[in-house]
Amino acid sequence: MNTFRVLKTAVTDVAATTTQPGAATARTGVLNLSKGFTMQTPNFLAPTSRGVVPHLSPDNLEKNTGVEGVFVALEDFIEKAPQRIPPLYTYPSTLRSFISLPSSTFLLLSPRRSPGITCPKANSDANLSILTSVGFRDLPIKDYVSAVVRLEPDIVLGIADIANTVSPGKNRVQKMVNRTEMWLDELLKMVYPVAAAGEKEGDKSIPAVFAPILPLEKDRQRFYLSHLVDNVEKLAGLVFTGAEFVDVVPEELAGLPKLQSDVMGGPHQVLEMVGRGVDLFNIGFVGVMTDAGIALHFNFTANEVGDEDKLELATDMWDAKFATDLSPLEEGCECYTCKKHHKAYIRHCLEAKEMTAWVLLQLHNLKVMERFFGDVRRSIEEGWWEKGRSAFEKKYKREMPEGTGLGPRLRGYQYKSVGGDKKLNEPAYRSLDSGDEDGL
Amino acid sequence: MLKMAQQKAALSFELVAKCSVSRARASTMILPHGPVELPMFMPVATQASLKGLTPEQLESIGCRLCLNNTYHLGLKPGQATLDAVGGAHRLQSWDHNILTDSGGFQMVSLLKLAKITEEGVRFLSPHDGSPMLLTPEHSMSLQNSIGSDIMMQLDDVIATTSPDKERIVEAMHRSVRWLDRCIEAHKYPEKQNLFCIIQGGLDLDLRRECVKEMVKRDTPGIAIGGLSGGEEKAKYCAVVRTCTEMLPDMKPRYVMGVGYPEDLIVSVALGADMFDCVWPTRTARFGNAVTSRGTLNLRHASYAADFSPVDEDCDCLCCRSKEDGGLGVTKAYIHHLTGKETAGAHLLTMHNLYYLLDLMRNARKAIIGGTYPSFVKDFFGKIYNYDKDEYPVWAIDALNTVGINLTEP
Repeated sequence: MNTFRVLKTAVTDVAATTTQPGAATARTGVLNLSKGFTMQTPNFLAPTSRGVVPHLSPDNLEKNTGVEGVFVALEDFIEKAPQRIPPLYTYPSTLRSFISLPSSTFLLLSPRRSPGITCPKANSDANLSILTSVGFRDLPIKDYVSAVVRLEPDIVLGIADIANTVSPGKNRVQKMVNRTEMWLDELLKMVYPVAAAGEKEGDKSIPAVFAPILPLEKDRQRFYLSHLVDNVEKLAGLVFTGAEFVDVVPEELAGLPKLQSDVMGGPHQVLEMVGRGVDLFNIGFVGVMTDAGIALHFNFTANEVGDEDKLELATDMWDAKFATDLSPLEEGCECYTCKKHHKAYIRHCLEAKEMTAWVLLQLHNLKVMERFFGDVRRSIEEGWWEKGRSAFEKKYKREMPEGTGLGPRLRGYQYKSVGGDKKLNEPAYRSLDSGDEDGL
Repeated sequence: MLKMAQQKAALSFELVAKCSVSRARASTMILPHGPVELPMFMPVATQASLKGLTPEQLESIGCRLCLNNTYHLGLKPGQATLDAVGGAHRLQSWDHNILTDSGGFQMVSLLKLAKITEEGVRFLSPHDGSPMLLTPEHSMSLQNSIGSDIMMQLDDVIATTSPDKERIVEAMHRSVRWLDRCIEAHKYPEKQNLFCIIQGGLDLDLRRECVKEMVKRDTPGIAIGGLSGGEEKAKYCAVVRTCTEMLPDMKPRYVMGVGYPEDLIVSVALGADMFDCVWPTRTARFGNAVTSRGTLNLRHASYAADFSPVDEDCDCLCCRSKEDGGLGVTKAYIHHLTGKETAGAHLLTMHNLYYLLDLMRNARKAIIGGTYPSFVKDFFGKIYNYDKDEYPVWAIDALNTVGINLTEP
């Protein structure tokens, strides 16, 4: 069985307690998945690309990180479907086995990456528009739903029909709500087939279904929300994009774990959302930092600092001042990178565009997040969450530093071309004897 | 000359076994950062990093000696940084041995940019176009800063396929003169080993003359250079055989730039001990797997749904099943990742290196066990499915010269 239990709700100040009962606050919990995975919350999932946490081979992921769960998108695997059957669909085992996922890590399956690239074509009743490495395609809803059985993810996200426009009109909203409900029902029907005679419940491990909350105000999706309430028994969690919509969750669903699938804003955003009762975070910003050659170094503690200048959340390792710096990325950090390597090497590898740079940064950055979430959980349990949060706000700058160097080679499927773009990747070398500056 | 005859060595070399049929040797070489077992393949970590692998991963596949390129480290991070950091071992946190080339190979690969005089090589930096001069003294100084366990002399390299006989003669003699300058300039002979490099193109008499001169200088180890530049395999083998025939038993022999499995197996039979090549790691990044059944291009659509391990006979971390504590990586998954996610390249790099290191480990075992000839036959049999008509003629001929008859059962 997939269960979620709230362990402790943060002690809040007087002002907060005067709001209506049930108002979301920071909380710790424990998520138990049917295959035996257990995760303490608040916690994070690592985004993947084509089944790998970028830069990390599965042995590195297992040995040198504490990543407990990964966010995998089906659109990364299905290329030319339905014209050509994707190998994943004929693979005799599960998705976790296909991507050699460490056995201690659980797998969340989403139809799309998060945030996904906006597709030019709108969704239809039967299809979701997606981007694979060969271009924009349709993902038939029935394919996704039936893939869930074969691929055996530990958590599966329902499909949300999200309009491409920021403020969809009345008719589009109607469609969004109807389709999302219809698609969720198809998924639930597949996951909970009408029990055949003689079959006991709990015989099979069932993926935990997380239902999407739409990026709409509460009353515009109230019929959908009440449908969720009716089906609460079958739901294991909720997933949403965009910060403001966490508050539309009705009280009857408050006991479900909430996943924010597109965390791009950094630790301040995470803390804000923890404060609004979010439990799980797909931390997209970490990969962006790693690719930019930036090392994270922030800590969540109860210690207030004086009025000094605010600290940076991270440091750009391209900076030439690190060329001979033999200190670790972060003093006292327990990650593989900090125990074994120094800033000078990371900087050299970035400068030389050696892939090892991003491997080492990714290992470190994920460790920082592991530590950060561990401290947040501890603060809630030990009663210093509010204090820690305000200390963090006072201590650190809001924005991440800008990257100055070049990242690893960009791939077409990560970007949407808008026409007239410059080349994604600078040429590494150019001819010296052509006399032409551009080497053309 | 007397001074040269008493070259200091920072290594000890022990010959463990010799093949009773061919010239294959098994030996152990103790270097400043620990012992290594020969014959061996040395992975190339060009810019002090092995293409996305961590030193821990490189160590885990059994590598105890890897290459760095002097030319590249001289550009990035540069000599001043290397001095400040305390050498390449500290830069990359690698506690095992490092071998550096002299920067001379880049004369062939970047010849368009280079001009060679008696003084040294003038070339333009490919990074910013600034003029640079590489002399034997500068090469030694750079390699001293790097702190490599084995350093290579600066040699005058020209493509063996060059039709200019006179130039080849000149290059051979110049390489000898440059060795003398390298020995003179080498600051730490007690902790870094300087190897000479035998030149002379494909002219066997020239090679013999060069061997005589180089051996007189009594360097701790000897390399055979200028090969693997597109010459015919038969000529390559003739050069290696000619050199090893004259080389002293008690020194390691390094054939530079060789990495194809068949070349390694034949060269070991001809009496060579050490090899390096970027091919297994470079080809991994293009999605090519080096296996006991030959090289497989996993980008090919036929592998998209091939759920077998990269190499069924391999017990590297990637190929071993989950049940056996491996990752259980399939050909299909590498196909899925190649060219799109670097982790795919890391996995295949690990496999390819493991394959070559393990091939040499098994060759060593066979030499010690007195079964090298049958090991060679099995190796070729597997690659060519025991179809003797498919065996390369150059390999049959070369192995025949050292008493191994591939076509016999």
